[in-house]
Amino acid sequence: MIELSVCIGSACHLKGSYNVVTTFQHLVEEYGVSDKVELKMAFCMRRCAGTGVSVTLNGESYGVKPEEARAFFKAKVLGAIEEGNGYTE
Amino acid sequence: MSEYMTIDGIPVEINGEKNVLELIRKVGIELPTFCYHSELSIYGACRMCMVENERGGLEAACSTPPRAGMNIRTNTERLRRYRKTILELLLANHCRDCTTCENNGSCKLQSLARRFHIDGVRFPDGERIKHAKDESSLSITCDASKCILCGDCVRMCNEIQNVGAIDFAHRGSKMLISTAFGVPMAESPCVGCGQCAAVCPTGAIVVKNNIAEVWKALDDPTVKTTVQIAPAVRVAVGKELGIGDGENALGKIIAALRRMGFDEVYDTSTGADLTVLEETEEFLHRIENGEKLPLITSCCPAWINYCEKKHPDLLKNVSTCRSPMQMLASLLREQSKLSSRRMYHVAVMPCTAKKFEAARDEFKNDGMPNVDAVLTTQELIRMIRESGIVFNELEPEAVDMPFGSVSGAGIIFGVTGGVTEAVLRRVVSDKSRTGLLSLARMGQRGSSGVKEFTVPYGDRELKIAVVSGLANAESVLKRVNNGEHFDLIEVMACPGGCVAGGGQPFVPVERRAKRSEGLYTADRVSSIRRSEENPLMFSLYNGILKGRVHELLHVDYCKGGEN
Amino acid sequence: MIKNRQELSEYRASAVRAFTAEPKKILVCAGTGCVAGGSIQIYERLKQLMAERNIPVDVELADEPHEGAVGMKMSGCHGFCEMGPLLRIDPMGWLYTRVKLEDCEEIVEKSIVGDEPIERLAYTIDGKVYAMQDEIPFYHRQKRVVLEHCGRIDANSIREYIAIGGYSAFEKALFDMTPDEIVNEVTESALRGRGGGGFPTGRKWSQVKRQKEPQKYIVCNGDEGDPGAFMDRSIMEGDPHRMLEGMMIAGVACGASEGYIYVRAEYPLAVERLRRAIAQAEELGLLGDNILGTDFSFRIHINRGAGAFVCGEGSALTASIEGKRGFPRVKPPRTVEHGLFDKPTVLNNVETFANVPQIINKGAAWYRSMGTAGSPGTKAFALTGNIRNTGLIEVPMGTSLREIVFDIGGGIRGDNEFKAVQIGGPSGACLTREHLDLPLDFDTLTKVGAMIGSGGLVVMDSHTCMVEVARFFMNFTQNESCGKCVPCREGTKRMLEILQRIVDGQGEEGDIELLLELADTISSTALCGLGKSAPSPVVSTITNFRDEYEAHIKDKRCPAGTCSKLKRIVIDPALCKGCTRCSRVCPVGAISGKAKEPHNIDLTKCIRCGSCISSCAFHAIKED
Repeated sequence: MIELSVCIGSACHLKGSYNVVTTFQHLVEEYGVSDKVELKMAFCMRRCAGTGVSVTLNGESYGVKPEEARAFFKAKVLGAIEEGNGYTE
Repeated sequence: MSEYMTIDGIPVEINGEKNVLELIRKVGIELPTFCYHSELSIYGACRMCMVENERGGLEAACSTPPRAGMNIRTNTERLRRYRKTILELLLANHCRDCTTCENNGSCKLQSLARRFHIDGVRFPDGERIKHAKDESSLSITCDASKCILCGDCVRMCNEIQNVGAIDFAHRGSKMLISTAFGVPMAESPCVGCGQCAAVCPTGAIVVKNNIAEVWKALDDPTVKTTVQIAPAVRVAVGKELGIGDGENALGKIIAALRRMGFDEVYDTSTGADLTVLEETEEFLHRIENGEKLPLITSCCPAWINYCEKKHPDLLKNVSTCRSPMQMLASLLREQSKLSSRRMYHVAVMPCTAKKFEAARDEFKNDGMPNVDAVLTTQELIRMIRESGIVFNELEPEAVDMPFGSVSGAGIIFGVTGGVTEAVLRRVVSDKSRTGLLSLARMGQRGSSGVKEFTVPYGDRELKIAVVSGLANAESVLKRVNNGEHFDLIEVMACPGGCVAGGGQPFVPVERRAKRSEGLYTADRVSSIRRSEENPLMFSLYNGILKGRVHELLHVDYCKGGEN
Repeated sequence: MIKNRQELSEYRASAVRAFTAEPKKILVCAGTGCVAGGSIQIYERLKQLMAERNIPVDVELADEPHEGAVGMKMSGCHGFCEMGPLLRIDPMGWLYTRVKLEDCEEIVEKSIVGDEPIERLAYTIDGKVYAMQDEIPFYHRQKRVVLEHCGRIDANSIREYIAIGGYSAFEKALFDMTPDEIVNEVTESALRGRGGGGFPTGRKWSQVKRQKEPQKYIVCNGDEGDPGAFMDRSIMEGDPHRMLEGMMIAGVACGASEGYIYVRAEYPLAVERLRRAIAQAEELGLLGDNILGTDFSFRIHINRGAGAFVCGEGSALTASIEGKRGFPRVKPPRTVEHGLFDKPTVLNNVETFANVPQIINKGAAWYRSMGTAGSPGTKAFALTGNIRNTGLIEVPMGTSLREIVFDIGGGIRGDNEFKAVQIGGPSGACLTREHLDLPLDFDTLTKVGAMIGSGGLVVMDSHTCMVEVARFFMNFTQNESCGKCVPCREGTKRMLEILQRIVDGQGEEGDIELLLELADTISSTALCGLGKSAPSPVVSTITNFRDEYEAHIKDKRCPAGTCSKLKRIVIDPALCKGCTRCSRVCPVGAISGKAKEPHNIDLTKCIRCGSCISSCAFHAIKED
């Protein structure tokens, strides 16, 4: 299972973390990968100063702006699924 | 240089009023009228508003423009006599069985007869009294025996709603309001918006009454009764139930519903939040791919009916999202599958068209409708009174979990421009508090029938139109058909949005603002302002909706639904 | 196609030559009344007879004078409808009345081939024979101005119209006058609307003229819905070009380029003649673009009504032309500012437009020399009812009722007495004996609570029941009420109910007061003229003949003896032999009595069928 976490701390909240969460939720449904991706909301990841909302994919950190969420998902998350298995089954 | 005229000996300043009637109201006199509505064209047929000038000549106040130096009286002996005779003539050809009438107590003919102390009718009953009712429509009931031919419904349906399902037929004393060729209303172009019922001064057109079946379900112990309450309802019960109009009475309404016997009470705004999320995704998807724009909202069933009848080619632009009422009902239905009892679901709506939306085939599951009955605000008020509940003594309560979480964005669906604002809150990247304030002033708020504005998104400008009233919608759609580009169009059939819906207690245009303000206030005092911040959403998508979003929350109108 | 003024003069000159060259003209009246009497067959038969005798005949005014050809024409209504079918022979001016098909041989023989009038066909009264039309008392006292061509020219020929001076007023207005001068002339003439309103025509035109809106309309009201009125019909059938010319002059004055004529559908002959007239005018270039080489363009369209009296009301008429429901609307906005298609509109009656050409030609002073100071000019009246000479007349305003009824109309038919005259149709009132010497014009009638209306005059004698007259007109108005406003829609219905009850013998104490109360409300509060004037016949008959109402209500008796339900059939006990025949034929069993004893009729069951009267061999049963 690929772990995809989105920060919903106050700074990221103001940057649109809920936008990002729901976009990811939709794309999970759209691409039918709910058995391969575990979507979580997490508390402050201490990257408040960075650009965009703080997102962690399989341990790697990214800064994703809401407008970029779709592109990010298609490139990185789907890409991670392609590459092979996630951390846990 | 201000101009003056004299009314009943009092000098009054003329300030651009269209007619003397409006000026007379300024002096604190309520001239009797049947056929005058400030938003409809002047008809001048009831002849109740005549005033007398100093030469003894009579003029109808509704159609006389004020002129400097005019000197009129509103209450001479002749005028009183004529008003009484006109009322007597109307009553002679009118069903006088007030005690069994749906509109008993809110009928203009009744109140004017009382006001002028009509103590007898010297003429035999006219033929109109024997006319049969037309109960074919799911939204309204038409009874010609109570019609005074004031023409308000005709002008509303033709001028404001551009539907034209009803008009005058025959001539003279045989005149009737009718559909073309007298077909039953359900077979006519009627879209069920109920605005005709809203402006009808008597009980000739009334909202369909579904109270009896709801009582039956409430009394049935084998059935679990649940109810959802639409946003616009909570700010419209005040006037009738003894608190201020525009005041948010949701807490008391919930308390009343529980007392009446409902097992679970929910808020349609929850469904509205889901609608925002789904519709935004749809919107962004279309924007990205540049296809099927403009996106046209789909939560108003009268608009869907209008689109199917007049613009079937635009159905592909309509959002595939279900309305908030249907989305919430879908969820509740799913959840109730775990229960041992069958769920009877009721929706309290400001809307008459919801009655036939609930009956549409698309919203049935195994042949059973998701929403069993729709009650309008007027029917809810009636049920509360019937129960004997003293409304303003109720202690407010809250909706049931797990669907008890709503955002302010969901609540403002009841106003024109509300859906658009809710969607925009999700779309724009500025999620700060100031962002909300500037979003409020983009141009979607306010009572104007057509509002156009642009919103920056990324590197483009989104062109948005918010319309209420179907004639206004028609003018914008005409421009779309001529090639003008819009990204999003919000269409509400009722002018002003759902707060002025056909099922709401009627208030004239000038007093509608209080209701809209009530909803915007409710939004302001919510902790959660945006649909995506509603924590319930996340758990829903991870739970019931997983893998079933399309099945439960979307609908395909292009297949040609049932009226 | 006439392209300029010069060519028009040439055309006119040639038409005059052809017109004056005709040695004789036969004008067969082809107004609707005479057509119904067979005048078209008479026309055809005369043509046929002349062909058999090789007499050259012109059915149409020829381009060049045709040597010795007799003009054979179908003309407009001569007006003496009582004596139709009518036929006039010019230049002698003989008028033949009650012409039959069998008379045609003699007419050709004596009056066409020969030069003798046929006395037996001439009008004869009190032993005196009047061969010349103008000497007939009916005509002698009239002053036919608007109707001057009706019966004198071929109603189907623009050439003849031009020959006798037609379109010269239009020519003058187009080339020799400014729009202001035209409007001034009409205003100075003090011409008032002939449709009933009596509004100063010049003022109406100047109000439209000063609107800044470029598109304007001239609309002619040819709806003529009053029962018994046929003045406008006769003008449209008999002299259509005169009316068109009036409209065109209005177009020049006000700056309008489009005209509409609203003709009621029940006038198919008028529609046909108007269509032909418009087509002829277009062919000659008098209608269309750049008329006579100027930058004035004018087009006229015909709109037919659909059977609604209320569409004679101005705003209902324009609504009807626009394709909407014929409802009158509130004013303001007024028709002169926002009329047809929301543009400034001159809306005038047929007769009003027909007055205009001669005013332009002969001047305002000439027009004011006729009639009275407040109502100059003449008026066409349709004279009908219990009068000897029914028909269409035209008299100067101010002529007394006595003159019209007795001198022109020939007095009451039969040996009855004059009782009243209903003037103005369903919107009008009645004038009685005491008004006989009243000069008829707009203002004097208004002072006595009546109105000229469109010009329908129904004469009534002592056998006319005035309550029934009121009921008849109220029935008409009720049927034609559009239904928009409450007082007219509901009020006239109730008034009709009460009148019906009274006429049926079920009147109650208080009915007259109730009628007057309703009348006051309706006339004060109704939306349009139809409603406002609907109670007039009732109020007027109550004022002048209250005793008749009271007889109906209290005594259940009709003084005039006409209300069938109030007829009393009585068996004279002195004559009745008790043979029981009457009780056996009575279909409702109203007669009772023992054999050999005088019988009795129960009037509450009697249906007044009269079978008993005819069955009685002893003439013992009579109507009371």
